[in-house]
Amino acid sequence: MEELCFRVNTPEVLYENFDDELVAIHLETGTYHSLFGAAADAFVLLAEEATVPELAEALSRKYAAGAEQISAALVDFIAQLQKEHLIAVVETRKARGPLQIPGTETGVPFVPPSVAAYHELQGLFLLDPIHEVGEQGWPQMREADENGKPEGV
Amino acid sequence: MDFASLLNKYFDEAAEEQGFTSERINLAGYPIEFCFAGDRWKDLTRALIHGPASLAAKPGLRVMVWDGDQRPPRNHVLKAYLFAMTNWLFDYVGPRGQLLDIQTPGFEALYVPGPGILYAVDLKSNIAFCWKRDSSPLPYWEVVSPFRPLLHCWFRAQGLQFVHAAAVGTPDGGLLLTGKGGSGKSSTALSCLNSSLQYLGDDFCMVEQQDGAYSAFGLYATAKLEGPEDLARFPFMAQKVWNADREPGHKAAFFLQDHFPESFIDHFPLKGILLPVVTGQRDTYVAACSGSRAFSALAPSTMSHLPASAADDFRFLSELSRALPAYELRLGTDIAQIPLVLNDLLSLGREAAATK
Repeated sequence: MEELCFRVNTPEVLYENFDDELVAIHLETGTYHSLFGAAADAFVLLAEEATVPELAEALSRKYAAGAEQISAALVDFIAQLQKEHLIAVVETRKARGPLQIPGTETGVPFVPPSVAAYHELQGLFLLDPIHEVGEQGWPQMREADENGKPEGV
Repeated sequence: MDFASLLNKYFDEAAEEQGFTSERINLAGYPIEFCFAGDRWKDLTRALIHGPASLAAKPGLRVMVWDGDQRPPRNHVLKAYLFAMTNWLFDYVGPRGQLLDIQTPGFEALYVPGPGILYAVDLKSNIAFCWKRDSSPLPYWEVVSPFRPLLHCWFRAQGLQFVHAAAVGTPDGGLLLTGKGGSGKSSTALSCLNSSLQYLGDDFCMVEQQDGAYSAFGLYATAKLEGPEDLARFPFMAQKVWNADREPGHKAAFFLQDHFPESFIDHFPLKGILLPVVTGQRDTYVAACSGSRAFSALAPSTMSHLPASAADDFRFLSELSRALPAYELRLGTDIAQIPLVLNDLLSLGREAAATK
């Protein structure tokens, strides 16, 4: 079976990679995220489109772990990213060179990648992330006056 | 006829019936002319910093402000659109209120359903619209920071970025104070009112980058305090609360320019970003922190308050966070120490302030 290829879910997802942390925001879920170490490196590689084996291979050149061990750790990580809608499956792959993490570091201790998600600003980001829908649907039409004019119009 | 022309005509119809008034003020040196149909909303400009005009010629913005309480538009297309959009909101707007069928490059349009306000900005003609669906009173947070989505869109096009931050300093340099609600931004800024530091803003201000240097510009001359504990820390503010009969859970709001005109400053060069953290200890001090921490405090919070914010805002805030030194401001209970620590940071540098 062909490996699934993933990409960062742009343009809804914006991210910035600092030396010590990658910060991402999903504009349509109102959630922001922190990624460190191998998670940040993997996310940057995903911007170029990648399968799990491709990610593992690239990460194994920087981190002190084999591609197999990294690959196993990436499965949960990819699932987390999908759950947060930070990545999407690529339908048609684009041509690109081999994946490479910027820099020359090697032998960096490997910590299984994970993503921290912060949802507390959703209520400010979005108009109404959770709303009650009654039998009449929502939003309900405002009462019209005798001329059919709704309040305010 | 395009959407801007339809709104323009609707405003003219309202102004013809209800009367026309206007007020011109300067924000960050840019002349902004607020035009009102009727007199219901003309006090909204009270919250804005009335700054000096710029010596250099700068483009101006004209903002039309009116409501739909008295009459619908004569144009049936606009009338039908406003009827449908305000009643079946989620068929017409994106998740952040964008008017999906109306927005085009150079024309920002969005609807904020709580207060029922349609904002539109035509960046080509520098004309903006603020139409409120009805005449119901605005919630206090709209009164103390009015026209925010509209001004954000227009000033972004002029190279000035809105930031969700308080700011204090002197003409030689100042500091941004950022963080989520309740982190201590307002308390820190208010603690500087009777000090040698001047007050630029409590909640939102604007930042401009020129030749690699960043400057902050004032926007709103208002402040908010969370609850009775906050008010108790600033007894000199107790008699100055604007919404004394506020509902439970609402913050106390202040129009500071009315009470402390000499404490205001309209711009200063930026020297750093502070992240206030309430410690419960007596003393206040600063500790260096990473640019990524400053960005995490600044960007999500800023963008969550600005429905038109997008990749440009994110990038600007990233560059700002990388360019300026960032510090945790560990806030102590002795309020009098706070402006002294900030003053030391500005005048002596971090090491001196950290060892005080």
